[in-house]
Amino acid sequence: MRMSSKTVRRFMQDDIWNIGRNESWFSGMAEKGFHLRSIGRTFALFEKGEPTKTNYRIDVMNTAPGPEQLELYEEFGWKLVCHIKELYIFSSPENSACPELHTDPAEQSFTLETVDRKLKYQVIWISFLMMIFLGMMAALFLLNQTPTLSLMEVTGLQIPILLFVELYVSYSVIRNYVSLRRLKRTLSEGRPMNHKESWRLPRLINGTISVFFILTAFLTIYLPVAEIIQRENYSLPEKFSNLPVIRLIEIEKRPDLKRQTGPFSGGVDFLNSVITGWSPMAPVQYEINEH
Amino acid sequence: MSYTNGPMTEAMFYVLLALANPNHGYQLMNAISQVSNGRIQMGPGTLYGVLARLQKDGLITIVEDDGRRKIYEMNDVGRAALREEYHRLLSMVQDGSSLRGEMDNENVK
Repeated sequence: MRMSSKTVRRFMQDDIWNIGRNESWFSGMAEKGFHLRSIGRTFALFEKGEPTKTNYRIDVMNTAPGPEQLELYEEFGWKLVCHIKELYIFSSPENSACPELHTDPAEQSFTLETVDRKLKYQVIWISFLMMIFLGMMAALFLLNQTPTLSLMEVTGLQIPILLFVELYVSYSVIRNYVSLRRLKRTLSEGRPMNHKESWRLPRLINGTISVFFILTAFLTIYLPVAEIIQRENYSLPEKFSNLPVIRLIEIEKRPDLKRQTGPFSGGVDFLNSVITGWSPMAPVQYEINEH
Repeated sequence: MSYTNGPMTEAMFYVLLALANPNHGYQLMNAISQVSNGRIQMGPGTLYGVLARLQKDGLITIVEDDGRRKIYEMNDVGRAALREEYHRLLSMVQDGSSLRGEMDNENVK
């Protein structure tokens, strides 16, 4: 008989290199009946089952483990669940009291050296790109003769929003590197990793920050679309209109002046037209052409 | 080529010691326990971490690899590094021997 299984995805809110906290989170999920099956950069996949007390260990291996290594791990009670790049995740029932995978913290710190170097280059690169990006943004803003006006328009507003998103990307890369460095230092000082680290509050904080920035990133796509949807284009009536603007005809009061009509497109006189616009900073905008 | 990465960790010292004779991962666990008179019960994660590092530093050599099992052995560079570490530890013990009487009185093992 084939058993049906239910899987759920959970957002990887925490830094992947906060190893102890992620292990503790997987155990917390298993206690609620969600057992880890696979893991990606953004989501972790859990399978619904019976609640169990399970220990998880994330081992960093710079080369893929061979069959003998995995057999030995199993002999010690640690079964491979899944892996992502150099992170191999093993599980063991909590009551099995199996020996620890790592018995020498100082030695374990050496397993983080390659990834430490890799993340360090990432941080250098992202900081360098961030500086270039900041420079570009500053130039765009400072060379603009009407910077405040440009902020009223969607295209101008996208610059600070993009900057905000870029800042978040840099922040998350640096935060992840700091987590790894902290772990490496703890281990190299001979202190074992805390596999039961509290995960609820940090996940909530990091998750809230992530969601906020994902929504902000979404804004850069949403704003131009919303602007196009809100845009209206129609011919300007010759005399009376209920537009909240003062027209030249009302100031000059020159009956001898005649209106020049221009090319028409979709019934709109292009030389005498009203275009309504929208942006978050100026929700009501009018662009009026009158000849 | 010689080993220049500073003092060895306890795990590294014992894995190297146990690799005086060719050995594979599984047997190594027992060999380490034996050579340390049961004092060291090394976890498999630590064992394979040390093996990867010893290989990278050129202190051990794979003498046989049938795709399923690898047999490792300490090479001449490893032997020289182990000898050097042994002398370093011996000097430390000798330097600390002035405290011997005091230590014995406090029942410090």
